[in-house]
Amino acid sequence: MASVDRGGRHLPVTPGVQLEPGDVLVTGRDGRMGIAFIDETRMAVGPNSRIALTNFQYDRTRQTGSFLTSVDRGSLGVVSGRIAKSGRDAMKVRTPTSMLGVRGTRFVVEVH
Amino acid sequence: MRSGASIALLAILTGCAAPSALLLPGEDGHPTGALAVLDQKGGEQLLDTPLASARMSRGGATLGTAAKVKPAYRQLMATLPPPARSFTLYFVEGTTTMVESSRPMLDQIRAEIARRPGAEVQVTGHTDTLGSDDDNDRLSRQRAGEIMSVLIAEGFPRDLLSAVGRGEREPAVDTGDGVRDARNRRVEVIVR
Repeated sequence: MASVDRGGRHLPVTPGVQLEPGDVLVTGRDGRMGIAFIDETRMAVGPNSRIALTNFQYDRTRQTGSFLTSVDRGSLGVVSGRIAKSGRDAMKVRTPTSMLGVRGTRFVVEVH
Repeated sequence: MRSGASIALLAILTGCAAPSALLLPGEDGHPTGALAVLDQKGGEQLLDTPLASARMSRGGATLGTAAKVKPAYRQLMATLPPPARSFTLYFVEGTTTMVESSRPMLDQIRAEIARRPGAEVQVTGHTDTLGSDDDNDRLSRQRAGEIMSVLIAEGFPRDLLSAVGRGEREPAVDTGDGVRDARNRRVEVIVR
């Protein structure tokens, strides 16, 4: 199971569905999601996860922006893109106990 | 007493479950990046070596190094969509006619779209620096529009396509103004 919560509504996930800032990605026991962002960031959401795209701003022309993802529970795999390169800690990942500044490339965050 | 015991148990469980982070080696031979655990006073603890790990509790992070990437994480990273791919199509001077040698590239674009369920395609038109800025803005939009029409005609969903014209602002080769250059008369197609 995988769904997107947008303003309290549950949207089913199908390949090609377009996400918006504020969307919350939710997966069940067998759920997974792969996401490609317009700044070339890529994410993988593991099973039993709840992950919010809290803030996403990207200027395609300048290739700069800011990106905050909140991992409430579950696992998130990331390959960072242009936003992370556009400024120090322009991309951040929040967990219930901490804030991470993304300085590049590949990592996993897990919240049990 | 009973409720006291259950509160203690809950505290132990959450204590074990501190969020964790693991920095992975760079993709395809790219260097390993870095991840900083930020504290509220402006300080940070830095993970900057492959398999550097952090266990983040409210008081701060405990850093370490993982022996290996556990299978669940390998499986997670295998869920990532492939990196975006970019294709360049070239055009006859002053026209929206693709040069003959760029035609096979359309097949590669089709194949790349077919390989990715839910692909999004971004089409960007460019010109060389000959002619006025306004003319080149228009021509670059028309070039992008031409490629977009080809993709739509083949059934690619319009709402997963975006096209823009960048005129002569982003030359592939910096020639100075007023220069005809085949390398700059192009449309870039990014499939992600």
